[in-house]
Amino acid sequence: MYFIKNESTLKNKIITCRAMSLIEILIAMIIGVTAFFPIIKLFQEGIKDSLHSSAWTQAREVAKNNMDMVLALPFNNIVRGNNLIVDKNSSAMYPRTEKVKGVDFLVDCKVHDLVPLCGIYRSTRSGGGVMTHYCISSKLKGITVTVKWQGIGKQLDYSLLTFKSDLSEGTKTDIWQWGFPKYE
Amino acid sequence: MNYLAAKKNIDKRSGFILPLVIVFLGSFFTMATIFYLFNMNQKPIVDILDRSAFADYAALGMAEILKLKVKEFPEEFRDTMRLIEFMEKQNQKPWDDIYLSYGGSSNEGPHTYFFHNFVVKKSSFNQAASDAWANDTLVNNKPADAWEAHWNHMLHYLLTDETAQYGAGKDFKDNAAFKTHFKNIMSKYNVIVNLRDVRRDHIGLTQSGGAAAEYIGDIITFSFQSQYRDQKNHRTNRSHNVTFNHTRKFAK
Repeated sequence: MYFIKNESTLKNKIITCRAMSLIEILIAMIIGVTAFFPIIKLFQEGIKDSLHSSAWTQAREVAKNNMDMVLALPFNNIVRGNNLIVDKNSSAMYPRTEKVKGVDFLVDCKVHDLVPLCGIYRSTRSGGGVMTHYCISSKLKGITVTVKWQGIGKQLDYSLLTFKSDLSEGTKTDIWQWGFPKYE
Repeated sequence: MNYLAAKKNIDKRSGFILPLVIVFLGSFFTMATIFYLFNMNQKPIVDILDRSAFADYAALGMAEILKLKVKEFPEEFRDTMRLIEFMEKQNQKPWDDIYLSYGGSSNEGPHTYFFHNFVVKKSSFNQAASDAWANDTLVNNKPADAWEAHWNHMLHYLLTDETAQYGAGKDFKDNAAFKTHFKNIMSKYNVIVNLRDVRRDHIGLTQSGGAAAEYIGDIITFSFQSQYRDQKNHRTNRSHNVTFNHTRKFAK
């Protein structure tokens, strides 16, 4: 008898345990979606960092390291063109791949041979000013280091750019003047 | 009894709470997925640091060009520095003129020629953009393009190309290609760098009285200031000091 009574209670319980109604699901979803924003706000930066920014941070460090390596080279080793820089043993340095925490960072280095026009320069001389235009060849290079890596679905890149001058000795023959000095 | 106990446990789990938790978590993670997918542009939260590092190397590069200019034109550097130091002793402000000067401006003068191509407070080539940048205003609801104001001016003089006067452009090697390349990179990072000050620091090197007046053997310090926008689109400034050992142009 006792068993039968218990069995009957159990059946009743099972019958009353029905699936959630649509209203209840809706309430739960609204709570879930509403709760998402304040909670995600707390972790937003961390989540973004973990998804994307650690790779960016690492790429930036790779770019800085490589730029500093290039700047430390003698001026003549910084050869104009794409990936033509050579080290002290005349071996090509780029392109190179650095693997950090499982991510492959592909490093490229581009060098432009630049001619700065060092100003439309006016100097005061006895008897009046003189305006001259000077340029210097083969003394300035523009260096661009680009790091590329595979992001989520697409390739990402980060670049640094700077200039390097040859300051070993002043130019003896290559300072050239445009046109004629204009006396004022 | 074991059967009953098991049934009882199942009953407890299949009540109202368990589905509620499942739906809650389901909707939470669905939102997280949507949130994640909307962030697929992969713009880094540390964007500000990228710009900061870029500014470091841009300032370093500008210092290299200035070093080259000082090295190649020591007399002009000396003349300019003498004027600047003289004006400063008179409580005048030569750097205010330099910030505002460009070829043809009313601020232009003998003390401004040497340095003003490294300063872009104003630009004769793009005054609207440079004014907008200086006033921190928006152009077409966007911050003024810094590189537009800055590099149009600086590159015109420093790295002039085939448009150079006197038909000299053919000799300028990579300049034209570099300008395009530079523009693409600058527009991405939107960083500008200005020269703010040049001073010499005597460090007690052995030199004759005459040499001291020539600035040879002195340590020259260039101070640059970079400006860029942070993540909240506020302007951020940083200082970059570069020192330079000003040696003779030719070895004796």
